[in-house]
Amino acid sequence: MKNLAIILLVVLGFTSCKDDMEEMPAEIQVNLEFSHVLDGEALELNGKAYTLPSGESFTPSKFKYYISNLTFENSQNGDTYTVADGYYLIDEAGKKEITIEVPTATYDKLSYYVGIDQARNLSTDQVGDLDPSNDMVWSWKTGYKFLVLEGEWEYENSERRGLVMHIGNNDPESEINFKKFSFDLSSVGMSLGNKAMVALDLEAEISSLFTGDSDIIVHELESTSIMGGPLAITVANNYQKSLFSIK
Amino acid sequence: MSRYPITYSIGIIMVCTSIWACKEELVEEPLPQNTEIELQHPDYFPNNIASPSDNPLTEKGVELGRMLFYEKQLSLDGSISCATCHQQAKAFTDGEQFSLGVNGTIGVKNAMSLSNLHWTSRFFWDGRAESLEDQALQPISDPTEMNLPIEEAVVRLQNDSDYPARFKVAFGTDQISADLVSKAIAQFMRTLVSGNSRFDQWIKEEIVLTDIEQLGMELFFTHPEASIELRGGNCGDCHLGFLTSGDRNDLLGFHNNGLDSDKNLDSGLEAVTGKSEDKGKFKVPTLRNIALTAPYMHDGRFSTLEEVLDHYNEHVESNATLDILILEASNEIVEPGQPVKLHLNNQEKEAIVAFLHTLTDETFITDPSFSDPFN
Repeated sequence: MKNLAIILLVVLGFTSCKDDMEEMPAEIQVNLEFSHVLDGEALELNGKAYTLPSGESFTPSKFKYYISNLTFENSQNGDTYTVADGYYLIDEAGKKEITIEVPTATYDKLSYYVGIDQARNLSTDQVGDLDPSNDMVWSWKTGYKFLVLEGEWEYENSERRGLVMHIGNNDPESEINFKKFSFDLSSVGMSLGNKAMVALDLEAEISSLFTGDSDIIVHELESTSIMGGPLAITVANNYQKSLFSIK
Repeated sequence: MSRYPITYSIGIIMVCTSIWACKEELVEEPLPQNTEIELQHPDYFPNNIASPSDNPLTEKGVELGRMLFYEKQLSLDGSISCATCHQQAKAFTDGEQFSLGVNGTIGVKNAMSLSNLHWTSRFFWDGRAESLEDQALQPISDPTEMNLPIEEAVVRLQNDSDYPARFKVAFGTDQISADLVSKAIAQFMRTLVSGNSRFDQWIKEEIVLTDIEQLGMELFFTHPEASIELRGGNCGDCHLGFLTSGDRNDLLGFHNNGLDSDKNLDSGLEAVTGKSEDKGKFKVPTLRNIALTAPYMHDGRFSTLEEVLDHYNEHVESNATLDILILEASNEIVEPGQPVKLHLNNQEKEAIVAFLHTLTDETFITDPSFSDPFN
């Protein structure tokens, strides 16, 4: 099969690429690799303690989120390509990589959402990593959790306390916590279109949940379960500002 | 919201290795006929989980597994079978706190209900079996259960007038082995799918739940957030989705639910992993047919669902490995230092119990294909 591919490439090369020896395959393979940090330190879920922006100590036990509606865009001509049915669960304790095939073209912008669009969020469809019986489901009335952070926190020798952040759309009519993230690929020298395979390294900084729009000070919270309501909106607004960066 | 109409996956694939080979063989000596079957289940159960590649479900494998499940020869004195402690009418439990083995020996854990096992990982309360095949043999040789060395079990089956031929049809060899015994029993157990409860009928929009059941369901699947008066029973954090069973990934389906203080904490998953942070964690069981499977918890300490609700609501013991989803769940604002309490009111507790009763599946407990084939 490999030989056949080589022969085909060679034939193509002779027949259609007289001027341009770097004929591209029809699709670009894009690998998105996610890494997670807290306060700049690589995330571990094995009992390691980190410092939150508030100065409080936090020991994470779970961090995961859905990535969906990945879109590549050419800002010059406005062409876009959106990955159909692409719902990816990125989990510090599980899969942290997305591999997709994108039609060959020049793209200088990438965007995606954290969370699930309304149509799928309130369905029992099993496409991509959506599964109405997994740990990311609130219920099929309220849809999926878009982002989950759980762990234990400590402040001035307080007793064992947990912090539970389940961010989604508590009101199924609203998409307020369905957040878009956009990246200018050209500014990081990653413009797609001249390579058969592209690797993008995305880093998520968990501190961004706690600061940005409004600071979260854990020991001052009335409830350290954040399931919906204003606090969830605050957290989502926070992380929308600077959760991801391309490395 | 759109709920799926039920469409059962059908599909029976001939298992003959290839059409040509079958045709040739048929001329001279007919090959034993066995067909691969696809597990039938509601569409909304996860549909991307494969059976083990070395043990696909087959018609004859399941049939043999069913016989072995009900086979009393597999106990030392021929007095009990798997089905003695896993009775269909009780959703494959026995109603006892601890089960009686041969010679009156008594176990130390409550017999688990068997249903929808294809969608769960790790077996036994402490997760010591990584696969259903691995699980299937342990009660046979366990001294407090059937107490028959597995080699002896194989010899008995090999010397039986009927079984070698059945293994031949199911697995292509009449040389019985422990491996094949485990595969057959695991195949039968995988077919124990419970998917026609009132809850399922509600999912399929065939019925509506009563007001109290509906309230119970909403509470069941909600983690409370007191500061916004979001009320919840906090059950669905561990008993996930339609299956109401634990997370299948790694060991994430094991939790400490605050039954005991640190001083009295049972080892649980720690016995398997050797890690102190796993002490007191037990497998999250499915809650399907839960109204039929009393008593409750790994040690059968609660005899009613009401007692279970009381535990989660009022009697959670704080300990070093208590799940933070329980630690941080209350329907009232809790001052630091206060005991862990859910603060549901009586009506809410009753509602959750009412919802739990909708998980009872009459079809499952009367399905003739799961019953004793020797009767």
